Amino acid sequence: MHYAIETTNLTKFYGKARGIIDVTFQVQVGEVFGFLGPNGAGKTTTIRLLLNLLKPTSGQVSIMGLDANSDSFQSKQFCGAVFSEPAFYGKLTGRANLNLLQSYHAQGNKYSQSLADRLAIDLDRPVHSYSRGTRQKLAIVQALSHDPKVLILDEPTSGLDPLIQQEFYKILSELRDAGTSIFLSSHILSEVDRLCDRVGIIKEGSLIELKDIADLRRQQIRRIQVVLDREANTNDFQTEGLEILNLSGRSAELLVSGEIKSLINHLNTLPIENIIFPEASLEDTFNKFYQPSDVEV
Amino acid sequence: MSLTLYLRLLRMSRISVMAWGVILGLWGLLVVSIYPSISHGMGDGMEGYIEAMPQGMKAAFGLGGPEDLHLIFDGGSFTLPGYLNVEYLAWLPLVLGIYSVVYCGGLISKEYERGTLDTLLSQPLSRNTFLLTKFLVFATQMSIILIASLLTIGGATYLTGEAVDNSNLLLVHVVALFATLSIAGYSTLASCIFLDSGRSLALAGFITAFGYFLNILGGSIQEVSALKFFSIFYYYDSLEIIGKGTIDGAGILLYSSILAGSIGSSLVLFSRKDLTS
Repeated sequence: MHYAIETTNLTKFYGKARGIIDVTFQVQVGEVFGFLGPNGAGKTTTIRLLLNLLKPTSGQVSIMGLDANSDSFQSKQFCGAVFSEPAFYGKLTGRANLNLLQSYHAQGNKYSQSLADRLAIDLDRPVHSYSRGTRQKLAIVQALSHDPKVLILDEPTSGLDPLIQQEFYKILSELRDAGTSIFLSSHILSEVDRLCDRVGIIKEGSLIELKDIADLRRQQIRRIQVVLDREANTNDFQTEGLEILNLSGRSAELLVSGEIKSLINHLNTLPIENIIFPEASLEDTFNKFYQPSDVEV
Repeated sequence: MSLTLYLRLLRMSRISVMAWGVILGLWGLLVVSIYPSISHGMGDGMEGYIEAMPQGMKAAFGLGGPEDLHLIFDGGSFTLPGYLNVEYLAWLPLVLGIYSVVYCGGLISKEYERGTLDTLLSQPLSRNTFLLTKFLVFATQMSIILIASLLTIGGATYLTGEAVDNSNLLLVHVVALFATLSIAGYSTLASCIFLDSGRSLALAGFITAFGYFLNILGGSIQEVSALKFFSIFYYYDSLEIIGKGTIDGAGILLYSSILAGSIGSSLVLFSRKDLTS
């Protein structure tokens, strides 16, 4: 039994500068794994190690059981990759670029036309005339058209308009249902929330959290807005697990963490007129992880 | 080698290859076509003029010593091989060397800077295959350009009825190809060392210019004549080849060694290189 992706104590230093340190995780076959972290945390370094564009300082990385360093030729046969800043030969048309890149895969350009149609991209124009978003769409088509077993995506929706983003999410959902393993590095928490089964959070080069998305949702920090029948003041909300975000007149915007029961007991002591629950988001939960080390929570 | 990549890159470079082929062809054609009038009209004067040149300038024209003048002039007139050498063949490695430095100095570094290296190497394509394919594309381009030059000069001499030994002409072009490939070899190595086209171009350009300078300096000043042996241009003696059909085996060996050493080192270096974003 092998994993779609497995890293063991993966470490990369650029001279003395830190890349990633002792990163260990596994992505199961058929799993959608979200990889989150602020800029400079080590997301791109990890992706480039998976694709053998960087050589690890120490540790191992494998794709479908094959060493991504020593067996990179074989391991990359299973992969499709989208970079955050995709580049192609500008003089060639989108189709010619695809033909060149897909010639290295046994399945070739099996799905390129249907994917291009779904993402509304004209493959017969030279790439230098493409907008940033269209180049991103071409990168998605090239990554998917040979039906890869493992998809490695680095900020894949950057530059895509909302309609195409929705279509891309649909394609990813179909791939997930078909058993494709997906490694998704993203800043967009809603897409991670929507697509991923599990999440790894990387911070300052180290993997600090590895959780099922469902567990993460359970730990979720909630935002609520409480409206009193009188002027609200800070003393009203001095209790464990409550953080005041904003006080304005009778209204208070609060961040709630921990036991919900103690919150209810506390709110019961206040002259509440209304409670508003804004749309649930993982953002606040992730922000907790993203805070710099010196204000560690 | 990746055949698809090879054919695609060759096709992408067809305009520049055609342009270089046409430029060299026209240059050669011009030299051959004006030869009859130059030969009889200026021969006497030119012999004296060339004899009076400083040794360094003679070296630049591919002339070693007084014995070389016999290959250029015959009875006070230019010989075609001699004239062709002074006006065209002696300059081939320098002109094509500049092309090699510009192209191969960016062989890997330009792909890296544009980001296309990431896209290509995230496919099942090994770094060695990629580098060798790109170098082979360059070697093919250079061969096409030199074949265009050979055919134009051969055709022009045939049409004008002037005599030049075609096998010697072919040999000069073969040695020019070796010389150019050796320049391309160290330019490729520079490209792999820096992954920065500006710096690799600067290094490869400096080595080439310095080599050319050493050849001229060593040919001009007796006291430092040994310097010329350190220049790859010294081993390209087009006058000897076109005039007598003699090839300097040591030169071919040197060119082959530089080429093999540079490409071998490039492969080792490139396969270990971190390709940061």
